[in-house]
Amino acid sequence: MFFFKKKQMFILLISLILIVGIIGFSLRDRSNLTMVEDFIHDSVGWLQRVVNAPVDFTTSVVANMKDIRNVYKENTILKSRLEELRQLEYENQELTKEIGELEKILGKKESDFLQNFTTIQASIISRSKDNWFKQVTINKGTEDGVEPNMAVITGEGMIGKVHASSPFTSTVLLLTGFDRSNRISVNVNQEEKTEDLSGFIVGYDDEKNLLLLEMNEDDQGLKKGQTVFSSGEGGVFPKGLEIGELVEVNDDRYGLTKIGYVKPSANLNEVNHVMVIDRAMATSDEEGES
Amino acid sequence: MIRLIPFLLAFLSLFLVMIEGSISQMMARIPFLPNDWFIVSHFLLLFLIYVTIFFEQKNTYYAFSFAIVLGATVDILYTSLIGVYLFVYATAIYLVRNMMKWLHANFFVAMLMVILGVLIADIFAYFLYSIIQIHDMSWSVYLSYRLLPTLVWNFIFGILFYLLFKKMLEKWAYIKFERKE
Repeated sequence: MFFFKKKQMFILLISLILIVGIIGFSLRDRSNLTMVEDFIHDSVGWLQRVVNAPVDFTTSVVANMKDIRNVYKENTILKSRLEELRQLEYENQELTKEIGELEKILGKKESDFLQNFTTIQASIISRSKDNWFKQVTINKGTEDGVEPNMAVITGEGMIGKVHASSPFTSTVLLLTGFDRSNRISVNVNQEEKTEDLSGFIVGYDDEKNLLLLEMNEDDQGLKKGQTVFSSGEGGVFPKGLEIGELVEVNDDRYGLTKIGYVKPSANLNEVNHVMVIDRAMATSDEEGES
Repeated sequence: MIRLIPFLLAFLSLFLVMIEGSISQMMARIPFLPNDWFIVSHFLLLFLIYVTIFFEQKNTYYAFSFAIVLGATVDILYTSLIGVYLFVYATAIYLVRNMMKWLHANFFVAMLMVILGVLIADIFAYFLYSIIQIHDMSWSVYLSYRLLPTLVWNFIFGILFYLLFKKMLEKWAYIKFERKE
């Protein structure tokens, strides 16, 4: 090119090669970050927590004001639910006792069950600034026991999984950013039968804003309104985390299996406090499938 | 004070990078825009454009080196790919710098540079990510749902930053380069 001097041209080419190299390096599927990345994540995360304090305060005030308007309506509903709750609590106690006894009979430890997990409380400190990447940063890291591939939930349901963790912060990949390389093994709850249907969440449909569910076989039982849970069989997530509700069922391209569209039960945007799930059962080092 | 100025600039830039993440989380929690609009804040770029216009001398490369270092920081913090924002911001600053050789620094030129810089950065990022297959958004969808809102959003903050930083940067440039003690 005529308007570049020779030296400039040289520098330009070398830096282009370097950048392609760096992009290539970071494109690999890696959950362990380099030390430099860990350092930047942690130090900026710490500063961000300080900066976020006033921001958090104002947003929570605004959110509270929004809530206050609905208080009366919610209160009447809640009152009617209270009775139900008491009954549920009683049932729950009985069942826990029974499970305890049964466990003893079977001679299994707590960690042998897929359902068991401990939770780590965390709050979101920032969100990816460009929406190409659906990820948020939380304020807990490996020092608190957060490891890559752990499930992240709110009270309503699952929101994603830990993508990479530094000592004091971790990045979480939201459900909207899932693809085939990190699918979730799930069960679909059939109300009238005891058997669950099994399948995989294989990705996210950007146009419909729904999760894609692929069944393992041609399941006629798939219907709208059924609830989708994690099955715990992928090796990383525990059993029974709510993921969403089935809102649409189609045949796939070849008519061999069904494809379901799942609406996530948790609102992925309006979250601030999350729980990281540490599965009690020892996990194998399976990559990808979770 | 003279020694301190580059560090102050660096710290301000880092602060803006942090704010980008916090603002994006805040916007997700309090949605005031249509659901399918996406806004990307390029605060770091805006600040570095003003540094180029009002602070930089012929033989200094502060804005350019900040673009490289903090662009990489943006990559590490907010994406899982390193190199895209580094490249995009460095290119935008390089072009703005070369254009400022012929242009006089005033409000309208500054606004023109803000629009140009944001356009270059966002469109380059779009193409790079589509080459790496991070997304498969079509150009027309990108143009109307992402690029235009992003441009307007950053233009508003461009005016705000102009009011905030212009005088300060000129003062610092005077202290650093012209005042001889």
